[in-house]
Amino acid sequence: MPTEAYLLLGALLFALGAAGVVTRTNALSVLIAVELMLNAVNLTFVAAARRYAELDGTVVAFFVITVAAAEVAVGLGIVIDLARRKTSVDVDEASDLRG
Amino acid sequence: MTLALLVALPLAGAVPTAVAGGLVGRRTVGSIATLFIALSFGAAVAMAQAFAAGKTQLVAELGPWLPIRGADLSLVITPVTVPLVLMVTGVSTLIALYSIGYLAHDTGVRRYFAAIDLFVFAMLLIVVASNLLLLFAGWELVGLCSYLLIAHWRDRPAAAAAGVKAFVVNRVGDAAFLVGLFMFLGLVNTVDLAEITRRVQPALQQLTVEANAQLFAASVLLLIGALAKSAQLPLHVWLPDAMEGPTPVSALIHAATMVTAGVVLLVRLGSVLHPDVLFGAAIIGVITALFAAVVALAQIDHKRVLAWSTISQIGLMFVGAGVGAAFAALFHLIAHAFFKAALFLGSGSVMHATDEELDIRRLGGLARRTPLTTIAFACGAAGLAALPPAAGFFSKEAIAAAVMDRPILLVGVLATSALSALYAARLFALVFVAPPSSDQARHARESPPVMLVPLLALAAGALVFGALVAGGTVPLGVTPSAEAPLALSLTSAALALAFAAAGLAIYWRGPRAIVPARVSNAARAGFGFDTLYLAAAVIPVRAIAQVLEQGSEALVQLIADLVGRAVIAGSALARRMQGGYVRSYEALLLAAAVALLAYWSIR
Repeated sequence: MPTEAYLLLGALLFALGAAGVVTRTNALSVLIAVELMLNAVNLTFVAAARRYAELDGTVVAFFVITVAAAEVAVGLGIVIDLARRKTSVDVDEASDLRG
Repeated sequence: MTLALLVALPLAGAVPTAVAGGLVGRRTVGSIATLFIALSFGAAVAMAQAFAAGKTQLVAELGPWLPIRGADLSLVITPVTVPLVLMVTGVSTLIALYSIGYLAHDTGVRRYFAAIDLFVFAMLLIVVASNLLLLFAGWELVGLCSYLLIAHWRDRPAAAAAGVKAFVVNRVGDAAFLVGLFMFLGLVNTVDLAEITRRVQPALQQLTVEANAQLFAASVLLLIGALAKSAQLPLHVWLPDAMEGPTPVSALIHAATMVTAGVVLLVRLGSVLHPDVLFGAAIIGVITALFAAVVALAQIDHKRVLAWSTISQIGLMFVGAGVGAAFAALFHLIAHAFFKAALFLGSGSVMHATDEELDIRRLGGLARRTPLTTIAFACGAAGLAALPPAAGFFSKEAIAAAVMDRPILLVGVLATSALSALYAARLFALVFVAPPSSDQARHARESPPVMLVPLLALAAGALVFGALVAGGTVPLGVTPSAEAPLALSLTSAALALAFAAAGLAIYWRGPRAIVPARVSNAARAGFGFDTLYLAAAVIPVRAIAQVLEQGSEALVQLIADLVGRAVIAGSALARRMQGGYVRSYEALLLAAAVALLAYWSIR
């Protein structure tokens, strides 16, 4: 498989994730979309690592996985707090800082 | 070195007096300030001895100043300026000493003595500056100090107004002086006085029409500067009001220093100024002298009599300087410094003795109560009246001799002398001889020794100085251009004696009206110059200022409003971005990232 195919798939997934982040109102869906974006990037890194036969991309991908785990923990924490305060996990409900 | 010290000492005295004067007692402040002036006088004496031993010039180059040809920090003293320096420092020392007693209960002595020291410094700078620009610095400083000193009692509205008036009128002259200075710079490309003299003098005969006009204009401007500083018509209005200051200040400003600056300038620039302008100075001088003498005759405030007589006497000096008789001008300048300082300090002593009484109609009989003040005042008045053998007799005779060949000027000078004798006698008779007419006068008490000693020293100077110069004991650095013929001496002596006797006889028994009240009131008010300036300058300027004030207020208001509105409009835009929705922030973030990527990939 040519590297371009991986890159194309990565870009596609990233765009899907970004669209999800912007359009979804459910906080959990937003988190899932963020996860999709992260993994799209991971795919791109790994594809590049394979293409150049070097380990750098792989290493970064592992880093991203680790950070993503932390991010999910923090994100779920925020979602739980949101649910407690607003009795729903709709991110549009949390617009108290409107200027 | 001595020359630099001479000028630096009063300045050195001003700084600690101003900075640390609050740490010591009032008397100590005054003593320190006086000491520095006295030291400066010592330096002057040392220099006078060097000159007596045959020196012809002393120069002190202190360093470069401005990148203009001749504008260095350098001082020069010649035999002509030596007596001036001696007079300025000597008389100022006595006046400062007197001030210690006079202002013993004043809370502002620190301010006062710092200004006095600075004043002496500034005046010395005018006398010994080697170039016009440095002279101008002294010129401006003198103006500043006069403002500070005249308005010394700053919580009195009249004193504050008088200070401002002196400052503003002087600004008119200062502006003219500065422009004239620049014209000279354009004409000869240097501000060094000696060099200006060297270049202008030979060129005077073969000037082109254009250069002649330029020299004329520059001279006129410098003359205007001199007129303002020396309180000559029509810029004399500040001086009578300056009597609001403490009396020793009047003695300092109006006898020894500031007002003589114009004469000093004319004498130092005598060979440079356009001859027609110089003669114009003599004409203005004689008109001023007569005018002020008449006004002095009508005053009822003893300090104001002296103030107007100062204007009148400076007019005589202008006559001397204007006809090129440097000797006569300087002689009268120094003689005047002695007798006028004695008179002013005597006047202060009278005020001290009588609870600040200024109205001569409410004084009288002080000869019994304050004998020493009376003696000193009599010496000063004799000098002013030009009674032989007091100082004024010889110096006025010198001026009269200098204008022998110009009958109009001669008549003016003699008439002024006669009138001065009359008002000096009137003043003396009303204050000291006439029967006392108020409780203050009846209960007058003599001043303390710290005031009497300088007073008597000045009185002695007023009495003997003229004879010393005329007899040749004290050299003035310039020789008289004309010897007074015997007839002239006799005439002026007779005039002075007759008018003084008349004045004494008329006012011996108290105030008396000899002219209609309308005339004397007009004269007392200085013939309406103040009203004229009020209408012609003060009121229009105030009106313009008011319009500008309102206009500027409106403008500031408008700018402030605009700034406020711009901020509100800008923040309305910025508010839109802060919608509070996480998703819109995310979209913004994404759009920014895409835009950034697009930019990088295009570049």
